Amino acid sequence: MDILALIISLGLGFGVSLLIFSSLLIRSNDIGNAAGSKSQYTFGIDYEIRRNNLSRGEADSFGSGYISEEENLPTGV
Amino acid sequence: MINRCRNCTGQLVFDPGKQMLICDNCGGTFAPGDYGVTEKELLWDTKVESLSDIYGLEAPEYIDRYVYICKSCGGEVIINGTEVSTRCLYCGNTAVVFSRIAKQKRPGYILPFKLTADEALGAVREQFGKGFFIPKSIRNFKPDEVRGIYIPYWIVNCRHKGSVVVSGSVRSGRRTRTEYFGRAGVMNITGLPLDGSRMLSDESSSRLEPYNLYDLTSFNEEYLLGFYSNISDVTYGNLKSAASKRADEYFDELVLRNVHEASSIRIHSEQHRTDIDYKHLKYAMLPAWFITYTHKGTHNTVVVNGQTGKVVCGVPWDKRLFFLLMTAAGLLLTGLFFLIFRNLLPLLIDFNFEKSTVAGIEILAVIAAGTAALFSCGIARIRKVMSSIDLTQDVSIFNFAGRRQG
Repeated sequence: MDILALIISLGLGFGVSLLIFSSLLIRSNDIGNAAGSKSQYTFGIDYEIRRNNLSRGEADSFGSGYISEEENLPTGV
Repeated sequence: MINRCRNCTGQLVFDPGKQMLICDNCGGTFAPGDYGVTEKELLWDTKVESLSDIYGLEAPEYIDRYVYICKSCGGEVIINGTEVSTRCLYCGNTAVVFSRIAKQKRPGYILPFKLTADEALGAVREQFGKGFFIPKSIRNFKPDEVRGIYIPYWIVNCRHKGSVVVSGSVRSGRRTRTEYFGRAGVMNITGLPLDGSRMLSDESSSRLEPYNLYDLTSFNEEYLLGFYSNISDVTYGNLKSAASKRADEYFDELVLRNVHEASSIRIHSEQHRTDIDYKHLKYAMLPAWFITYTHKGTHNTVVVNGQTGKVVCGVPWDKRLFFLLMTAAGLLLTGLFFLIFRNLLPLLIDFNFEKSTVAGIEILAVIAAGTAALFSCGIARIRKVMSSIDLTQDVSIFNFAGRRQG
């Protein structure tokens, strides 16, 4: 029982320690890592279709035909 | 001459602190825009010639190199294919390649530098001072180069159409099952800045955001005096793929936030289309300070937003200190957890499996899964820091800032 308790404690102890120190490392050494936030450029999505509890088959075919493939690149590129 | 003081012909530079052109000889100040278009027109025809054409140099390093004659001293200024302003190696004056701005892709707007070089350095030193795992040698770094560079940006508006299926776990009694949620809709994006330089990675430039684009002003060459700058060299195709990448990410994030009925949600399938409003594209130059320093023989480039002072970089870490503290804390926490679990485990599990409860085994499984999640989160965070450091030490960003004359 003590061995199992030790194994669990080692895992949790070093896991929590790794999480704490990696968070400190991000704050300390990864400076200005956030890219521009979406809230600066968009007000959100106007949902046209919203469906819950889809079956796997419905999920696979969801949205087919909703997006057409035509390109809108200007001429003369 | 456009970059000369009208009073004493001294060199003029744009002062971000005063938002004026300052003469470094007599101290005279001029508002940007004081020089008329006719004075600039005289310079628009000055040709830039290929270095290999002039000297017959065929080596690869001379392929994207051009010669521009300095208007102040007549010295040869060597520039790359997209540089618009640089410093003359001989007289130190700013050389603005007017012909490139006039004839190729003249920017419509510019966001003048607000931060001086000293303020940018101060912002970096302040950030480094706060970093617990930043080695002392880096905290007291001496910059190799400090360069103010106007980066070409395209400010785009686009309409994004997306269709996304999200899968997630839904609990029903003691069981969990996978459910699917479909979302389709339209998202309008306005004022998204995308960098127009192929030499600078999109990842580096996007981290410089946000820029306050309300301060954009009509482009004027005088803002370039004292700074380096490049013109855009991306195609509409590059722009579309950069806009699509950002729009896809934003759309997916918003859809994931919209699904509240399940846990452990992730994108199952997705379709996107981004249409850029090409009629209302804005071409602008946005300011950034590039500060390079060398640590253990490796070049590091710190970028500072020239308007807001946001510092962007990954800093090499003191690995010895990190692992020492992490191990010490790990051992301490192990001791604490051992005291708890030595007393708790006999209550949860009977190892003869006579009285062992399902709940006890479930608790063990949850602890195992939790431990795995802790390690995976910790490792992911360390990898994120390392990827930022890689970006800071990337050769392309060093070349973008460093391979300039003067």
